[in-house]
Amino acid sequence: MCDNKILSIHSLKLKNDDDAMDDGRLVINRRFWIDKIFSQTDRALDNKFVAKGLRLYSARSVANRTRTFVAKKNKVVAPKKVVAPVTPVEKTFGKGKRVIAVKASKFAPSIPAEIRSTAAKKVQQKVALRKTITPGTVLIILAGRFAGKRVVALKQLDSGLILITGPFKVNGVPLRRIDQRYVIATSTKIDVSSVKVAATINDAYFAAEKKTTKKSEGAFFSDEKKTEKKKIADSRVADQKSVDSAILAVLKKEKFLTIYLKTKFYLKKGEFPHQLKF
Amino acid sequence: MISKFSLFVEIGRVVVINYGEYINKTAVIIDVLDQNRALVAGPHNGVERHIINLKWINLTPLKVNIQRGARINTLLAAIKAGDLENKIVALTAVKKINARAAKSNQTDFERFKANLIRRKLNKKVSGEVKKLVNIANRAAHKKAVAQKAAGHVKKTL
Repeated sequence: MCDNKILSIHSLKLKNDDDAMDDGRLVINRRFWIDKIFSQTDRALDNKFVAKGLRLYSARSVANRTRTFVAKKNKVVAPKKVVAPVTPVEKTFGKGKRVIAVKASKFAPSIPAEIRSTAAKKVQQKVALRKTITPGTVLIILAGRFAGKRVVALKQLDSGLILITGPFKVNGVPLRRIDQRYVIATSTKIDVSSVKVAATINDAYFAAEKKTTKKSEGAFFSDEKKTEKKKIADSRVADQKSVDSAILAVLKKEKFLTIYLKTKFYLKKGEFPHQLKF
Repeated sequence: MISKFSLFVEIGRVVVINYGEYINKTAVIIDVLDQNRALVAGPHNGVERHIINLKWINLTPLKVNIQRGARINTLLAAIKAGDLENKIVALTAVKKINARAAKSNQTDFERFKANLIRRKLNKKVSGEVKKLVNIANRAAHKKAVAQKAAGHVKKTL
């Protein structure tokens, strides 16, 4: 019995400051847990004293973190709490009676949660694309599986990432998202006005599929999964084709454009990317 | 004694500046100050009238008809009168400079196209060369066979 108990305590994730005694009793570092819980709930407002009269953060810095000024600007008013009138209590102590004064709160009044929640709401700003990247720009991918490939930018998605396509038939790059940091924008532009990208092709479209539940032990050891190849959904193939067919028609209009996209970018001897014009 | 030089640092000589602020621009020598320096100006392409070290300039075969110490306007008139701007563009040195500038200004797609065309051209040229070499080899072989048949024995050590 006793052993089991110790074992169970040891299996808990303990902070170093907590001590599990040999006999199974748990000695908790109270201060640590209080600090931790407090810091999680009220982290933004936590401004500790580092010395007498000296706080860790400046008033300006705290204001920035709590963003209460936003609430002030937007005039968010917290509903007033109805405070029950506290009447002094009379208690008997042995022979005599004594009136016990109401204790004032030890902590300074905090900012009401309503105000804080409003203030903390940040509107996600739209990511500004480089001016050189516009729909139809030929991009050179710099990192990842498709590094060196020349692809066509289609549009910017809400997340700020760029929607690109190879086209798949030309260089094997499917409809894909990429951050603008991982591309070089060339000055070559392709007219993609005829290309219609369905509204369904958005950030959610590219979100990773949730993995199925854990495999059973038998499945884990079997070799079946190696032979299985992930099949691409027909809808994706159709989307790819509908986008690419329009682009391919445009590519045909200019000589060398298709083979240009087909060819990987590389640096030759004596070429330096900072000296090149793209 | 006949000088082995054909181009001289002299008044009116058109030069290409090869160093400094006005690199790759042409100018005209207005005055020769000493054996190291000359006074040049290029009013046709924005080169200020200034003293320049002779090591910083390359001489060209062109010359303008001006007097020593000519003023800018006089020089400009002389340049126009001699149709110099067209002649300058035709200079080999200037052509090279322009070609280099054009090359460094190429975009990625233009570079790619140039590369493609060059490759095609090289393939064609090397094919033609190969053909000529084959013909020559065949002829040489024929000649050797004929000589052997005639009883000529190659000297061997």
